[in-house]
Amino acid sequence: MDTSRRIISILKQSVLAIVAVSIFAIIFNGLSPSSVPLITPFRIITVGENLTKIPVFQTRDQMRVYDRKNDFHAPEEINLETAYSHFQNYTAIFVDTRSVEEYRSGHISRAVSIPLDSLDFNREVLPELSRNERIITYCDGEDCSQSIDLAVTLSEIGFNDVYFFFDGWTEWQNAGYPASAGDIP
Amino acid sequence: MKRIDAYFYLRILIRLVLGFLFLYASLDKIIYPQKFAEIIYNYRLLPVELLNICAIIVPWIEAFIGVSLLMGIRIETSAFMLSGITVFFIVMIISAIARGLDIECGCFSLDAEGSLVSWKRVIEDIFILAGGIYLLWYQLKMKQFKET
Repeated sequence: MDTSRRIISILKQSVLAIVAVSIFAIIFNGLSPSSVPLITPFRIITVGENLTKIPVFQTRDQMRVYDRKNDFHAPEEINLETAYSHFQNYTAIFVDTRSVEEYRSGHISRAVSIPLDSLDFNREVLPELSRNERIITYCDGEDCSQSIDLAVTLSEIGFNDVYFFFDGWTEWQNAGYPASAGDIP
Repeated sequence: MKRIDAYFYLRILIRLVLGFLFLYASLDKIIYPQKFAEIIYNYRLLPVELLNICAIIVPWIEAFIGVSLLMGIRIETSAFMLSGITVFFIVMIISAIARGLDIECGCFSLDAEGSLVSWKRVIEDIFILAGGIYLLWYQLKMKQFKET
């Protein structure tokens, strides 16, 4: 058997192996305690003038606990002026979704730090807060979608009044609004 | 008596190291598919709907390659699959670097403290790819030699 035939044979075996492993993986997922839906669930959120699909990363068990199909309140975008007005009137909690290091180096005053990576669905999120509390999430940069991802996640677990402040940190700094550095006092 | 060539033990070592690496890399991802799906999402290369199915299947392909290499079964096929999947990983990491994404690599572990995508990761993957190609090349050469 020459080399090209040998390579074709290896290719066929690889495809066969991938198909068999995929079937096994899907069956295993169905039986596993951390099983996830095969098609990723998502929410459609309006960002600027565009509709964006934001995936919801939950296991089937977590989805059962937070069954939000009927009363999901989609988070909305908020602009600088409205965010600042809530800041001045103490009518919203600002949530910084960037890394802890970025938060320490500077953040919107009174904001709490919840990096998206640290959010664990198995724990109660923000236990001291009522689900009706107004929350404004923000991150930094036009490519940063963490504020939207976290806003969807919070809405998914029951918060009813969530907004995302896209590119918030940059806009806040440019406007010269109150900022702090270091850990939460 | 069977003659053992100079690189016999080197090949075993490469096979076992690659097998162990792939099996190890698959474990966290198999246990926490939703976290792995989130890491794939951050690369912004796949449609949202396909994130979960990739997070379910890819770790098991890694585990399959790892076990095959560790046990020495169908080495040429597993080395071929290893090379293919590693090329895919390299392309993904380079594209993330090129787009300036500051994201978790998801290469060997899913820890929040895990390593970010970087050229170091690309170099590691190039070494893995070189090992896979060497194993594949040797298997092909040996089979050709036996037939002649």
